[in-house]
Amino acid sequence: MSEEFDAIVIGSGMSGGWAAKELCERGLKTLVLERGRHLDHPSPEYTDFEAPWDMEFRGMVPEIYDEQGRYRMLKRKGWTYRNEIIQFFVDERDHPYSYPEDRPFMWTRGYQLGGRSLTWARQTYRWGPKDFEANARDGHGVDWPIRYDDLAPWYDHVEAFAGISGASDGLENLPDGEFLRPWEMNCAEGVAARNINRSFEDRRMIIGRGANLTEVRDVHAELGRGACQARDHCIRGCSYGAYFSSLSATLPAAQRTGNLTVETDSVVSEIIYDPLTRRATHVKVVDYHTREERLYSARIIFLNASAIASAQILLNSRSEAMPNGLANTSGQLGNYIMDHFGHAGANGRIEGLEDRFDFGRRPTGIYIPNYRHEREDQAFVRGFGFQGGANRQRAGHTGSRPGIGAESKASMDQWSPWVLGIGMFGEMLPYADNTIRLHPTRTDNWGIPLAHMDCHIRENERAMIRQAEQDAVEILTAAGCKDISSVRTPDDEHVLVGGKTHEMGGACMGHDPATSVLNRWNQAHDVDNLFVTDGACMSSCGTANPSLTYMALTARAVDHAVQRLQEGGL
Amino acid sequence: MGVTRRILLSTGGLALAGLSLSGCENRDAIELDLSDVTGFSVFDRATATILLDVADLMIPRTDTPGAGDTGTVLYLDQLMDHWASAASRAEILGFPAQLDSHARQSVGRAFRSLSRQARFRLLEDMDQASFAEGERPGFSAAYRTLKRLVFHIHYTSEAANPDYVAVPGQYLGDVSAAEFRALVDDARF
Repeated sequence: MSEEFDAIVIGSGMSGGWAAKELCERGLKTLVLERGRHLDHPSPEYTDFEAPWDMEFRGMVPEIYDEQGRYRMLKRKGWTYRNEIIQFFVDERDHPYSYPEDRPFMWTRGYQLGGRSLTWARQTYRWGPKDFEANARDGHGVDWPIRYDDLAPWYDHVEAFAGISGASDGLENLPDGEFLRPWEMNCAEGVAARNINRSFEDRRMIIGRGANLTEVRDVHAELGRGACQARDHCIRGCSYGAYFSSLSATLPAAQRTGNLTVETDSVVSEIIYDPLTRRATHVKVVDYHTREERLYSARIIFLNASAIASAQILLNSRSEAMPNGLANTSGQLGNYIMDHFGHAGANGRIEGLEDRFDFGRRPTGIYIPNYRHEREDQAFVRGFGFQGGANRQRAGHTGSRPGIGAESKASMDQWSPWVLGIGMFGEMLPYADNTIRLHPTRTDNWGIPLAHMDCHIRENERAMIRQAEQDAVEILTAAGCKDISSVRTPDDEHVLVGGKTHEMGGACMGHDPATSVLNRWNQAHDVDNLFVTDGACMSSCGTANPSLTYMALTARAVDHAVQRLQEGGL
Repeated sequence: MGVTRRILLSTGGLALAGLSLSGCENRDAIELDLSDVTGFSVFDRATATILLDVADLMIPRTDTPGAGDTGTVLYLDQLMDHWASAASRAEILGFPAQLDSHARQSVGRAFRSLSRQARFRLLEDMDQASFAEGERPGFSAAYRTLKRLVFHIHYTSEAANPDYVAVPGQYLGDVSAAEFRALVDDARF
């Protein structure tokens, strides 16, 4: 026996929350399956009101984790390796995955209700027309079966609900949207932006667009969401609900319809397919604690487990009719794994503002969108943008530099000059042989084959990194910075794919069932009632942060699916 | 684990008892007093005494609180119990003896019998040398571990963060020093 629903959503993160909201609001009895634990909102696990001196171990992750081999990838990630937020991240010792020894892959996960929507960086940019045309233009990957205009109204839709702050910048390939009041640039950024915008025709420095409520509209207040208090503690969870997450926004919206059922601690192992009806009939779940198996059925299934996990579930959904995995007659399932990459940037001092300060902790930075589309005077295709910001702090109370005593203490207490830093966000090409596969022998605690990722960047990305370092120096010079220093990862050093936590691909959208997994509606070519709307669906990765695009694609796909359902077409 | 108010007060008492020697920059030849060191669970009296002194030499009380005022070494003691790896624990617990040995080799006297000025000079030389040596293991590594922890604990204390505002409520990108001070004061109280 299985429990029956109108719709099942696998995953409760960024896109899963949207699928649940849109399905429930259209009247479908919807089940959300989340492999992680339940979290309330606000949650006792949030640490947003802890001052530095209140934090357990003053925010330092216990060293004994090192001895136990725990959280090695999270530690490698650096800035997220903090004790006050470690509960929102997965320890790969408990949830292993694999990769070739010489090509490690960083898979950052959050197994809790809301998934990684709790810990995302909240940068929210529409992709522009050129991003959706790129594959067709230069022949890499699979041509997107949609263009910007197909998605534009859905960007409007999700922005209004999520609450996106931003300025209307009028940029060709970074379309404006339904924005809340933008955060202000600080004085140093203002100087730099004016200088940059005066010096270049193609490069614009704008304030970052982000999913923090700079103002509260009715649609937000109805869900109990409050205005951002400029604490910049978002990653600890926000008791005000001021940044967009599944917990603060989409799941409560779904809940109030009365159509939502949530099952946490439910590890989806596979989706069961009926070849006679060409439909996915059931979702098989292994209980996180008891390992007991359960089946759920629904008329439509939305797969939103995250790019890697969604591909993993489909690959593991093997049957006589589909021995290579569900929706994989193209053989492209698990291919074209992408991520943004950094590995080049620069910083420099902005002088003349020694008597000026900023107050509050703004939860966004600045953005210089990709200005290298379609240029012919470069050794690569696609391009990169930069993200960063200017700040000034006390010179630095660190024990990691020489200096002790009263004199050193006094110098550490001095305010440093304003420093502007920018880091690249490069577009990785879609390579068919950057893959996720099932490990042939190793399984996890729930009997599911491990995800095995084999991905690396190529010469196109290396050339971008080299160019980005030069450009970063050029931009900061134009900005008026002094003492500019730049960084770049050497050509012979492995670039960790997954480092930006923007994994995309694995079940790409495309026109042709022979070369892609999903159609223009995020619907599996092979399975009419299966939709994949998380990062797995992406046919290219652009340079802008992808979450807003997942949201828009999800809302669009639900609208289509429900229409088809109502017409009897599903 | 957290440092309780009781422990903070206790540390304040230690400072007043003269163990941390805060505010003694102008005095000469002060001997360390090994009496009245209490409240530690991992560090014994001799270890705690040396570490209290070293922390105070690193971050003395000036016009702002020093490490002796912020319970830094008591907190360090608790970290040894609940947080530190075996390697760090061994480094910190072994440090006083290594420091003493280093003092005897360098100036021919036990560390604790040196004047405050001499102890500071010794530690300052060690500080420069340990960072010049890079990541080499041994005494320098133990020193760097201790220094990193002392600074982190002190500068995450409430007393060392007078500008910390839990809920700013707004972001202003261009304010004067006076405006900044007023905004901080208004938001904190």
